[in-house]
Amino acid sequence: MNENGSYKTLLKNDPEYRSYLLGTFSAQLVALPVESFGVGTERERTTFLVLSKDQVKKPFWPLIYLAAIRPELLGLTLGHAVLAMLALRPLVEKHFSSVEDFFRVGALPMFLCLVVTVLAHASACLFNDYQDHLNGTDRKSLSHGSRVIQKAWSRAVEVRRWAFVNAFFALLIGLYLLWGNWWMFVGLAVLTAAAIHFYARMTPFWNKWGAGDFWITLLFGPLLFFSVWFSILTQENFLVFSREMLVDGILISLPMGLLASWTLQVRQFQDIFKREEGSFRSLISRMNFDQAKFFLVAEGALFFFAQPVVFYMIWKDPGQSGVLAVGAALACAGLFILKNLASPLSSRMLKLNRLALSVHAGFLLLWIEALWVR
Amino acid sequence: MLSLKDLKIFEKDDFPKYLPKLNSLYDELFSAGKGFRSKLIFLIAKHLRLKDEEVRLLAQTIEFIHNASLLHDDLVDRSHLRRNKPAAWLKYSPEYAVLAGDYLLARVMVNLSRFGNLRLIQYTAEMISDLLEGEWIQDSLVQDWNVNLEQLDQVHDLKTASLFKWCLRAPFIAKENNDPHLHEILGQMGSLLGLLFQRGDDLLDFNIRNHEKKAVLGDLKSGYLNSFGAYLSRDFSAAEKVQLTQCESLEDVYRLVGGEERFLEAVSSFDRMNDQAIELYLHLNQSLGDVLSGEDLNVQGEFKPLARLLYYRSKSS
Repeated sequence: MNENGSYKTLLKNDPEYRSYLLGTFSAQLVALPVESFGVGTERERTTFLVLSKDQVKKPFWPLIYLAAIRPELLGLTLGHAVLAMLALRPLVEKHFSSVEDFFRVGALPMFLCLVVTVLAHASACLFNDYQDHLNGTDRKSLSHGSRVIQKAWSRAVEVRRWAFVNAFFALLIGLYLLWGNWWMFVGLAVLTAAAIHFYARMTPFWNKWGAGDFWITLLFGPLLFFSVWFSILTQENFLVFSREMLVDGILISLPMGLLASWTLQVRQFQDIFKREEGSFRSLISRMNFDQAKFFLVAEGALFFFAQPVVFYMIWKDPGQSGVLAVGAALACAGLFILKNLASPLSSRMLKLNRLALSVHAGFLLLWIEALWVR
Repeated sequence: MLSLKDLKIFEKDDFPKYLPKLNSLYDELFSAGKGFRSKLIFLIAKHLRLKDEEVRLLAQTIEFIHNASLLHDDLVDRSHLRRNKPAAWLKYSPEYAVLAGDYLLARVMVNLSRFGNLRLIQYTAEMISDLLEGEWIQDSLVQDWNVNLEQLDQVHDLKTASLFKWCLRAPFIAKENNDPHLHEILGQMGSLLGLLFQRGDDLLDFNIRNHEKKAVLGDLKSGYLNSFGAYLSRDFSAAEKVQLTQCESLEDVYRLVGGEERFLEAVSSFDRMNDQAIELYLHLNQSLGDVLSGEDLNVQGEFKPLARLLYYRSKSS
């Protein structure tokens, strides 16, 4: 093996193939897949760059773990969970003003809710990296996943192990929070698993009809919000719910779910040049560059202005709704960057991800501020 | 058996005699080229035992397409020189340059349809559309000083590598060997050849191994950050990028990166990265042994030196 490593090509039906992908073929060597042909078919063939472990410079392991769990995306999960908690108080006050001891449920379940959210977030990111590595998606696009496997910072088998550990503790704490409310626990767990499964495995046909966008909206919107609320409200049998609260709950969670879906669409749009059939999980999969640009601008504007409208519908607070409307107008300025993109390979495409996450984070902070002031 | 010396890209009778300007434009265009791609076709075809007329057809096809792209390219880029002579659009007119390029592409389709291999016609049409997509996208990157190497590689994969892929794959398609494994490997090898050729070419712009005496900093001055420029400026601040766009000479570039020594270190590091691509190319060439047999396997010997030759522009290195 020279200083640059050596190459090895394996076919899917080679006995060593899976062990090379998982990184279990040797204790001294690491194998980085550099090229795959016929991914997902019987004639799948991958070329690996084989390096000795000493050739790979790795950061300290907590930093690897941190990179793998994609902290930049925590706004979509942890941020939404915080928002759900803040939204709970005025909702309970609005519908059950006589309930004075609502906050007697204490800080522990709230804290545990946040922990579960982070664990579930980490588990989803790690499983996603592992799956992308096995099915070759990470070889098609350099913007997919955390790339800790591609940089040989971690073996695929270790990433999968960490994904299971995180999922196990998330389930354990979730079980504690919803102890006794078995139907609720099973219902939320099944719906969440279904949303993740259908999002990851949806066929291109259904994605063209927006199935991927639907599941993402559901997952980051109503499902996450109601999971947080049930986990808190069921403590000490404090379950208070009414049809009106359910409607308001859906109204609050839906704009954030839609915003999360828009954020992920923008991330996929970044890769529109390299689009492979089946690798896109949103409506973007049916559009060309110009159509996708128009769609994201129009949809973004609609979702941005949905935020102040929903806030006003629930709390009839013109002041805070106005603040959210100003935020929406500012976010629309960011849409000009999208609208003016000249090429699917321009350097501005690389900034879209940050732009979408910044817009999302901005709205998150405005919602938190608006609910806090209330 | 056709020899490389006998390989003529076109005969006088190939183009209408009543269009003398068109004929003289083509004479000048084809006489100045090295014909590297048609030579590559010839070297592969001889091991596949293709008939002389098949070899001539393939060689003519690739040279026609390549030269059509040059005619259009020079006009799009407003380049004044092609192979050290005035570009066709400048010497004749932009209209003639466009028509001459279009005419070559039309001839390609006429000739290929006579041959009757539908798969070859389809693949050639796909290659031409890739070429045009690459040209279109490259034009949209002018004045984009933040474009990165990965993005440029994708443009070059369409614009430059599509021709190399065709050279490697078309002789096998003409021989009706359509094994998907073989074509995947050849496609990837063609991609690497195109990438290495382009990166080597981009180094000429910075006067590295510039045996062809190409104009220095031509890309940069026409508002295009090439692959080595993108590599060199990958860690530049916004202010440094602005300074790079204002460089008038190589001395300005040296000053910007902290001296000539630092600049040459960057070249060595770029070379090391491309040596890795050459290694991958050689590995893929080796793996052709799994999908080829008999005399066909001799193409491995022809393929072997190509990657290094195209990047370093010299057999000895």
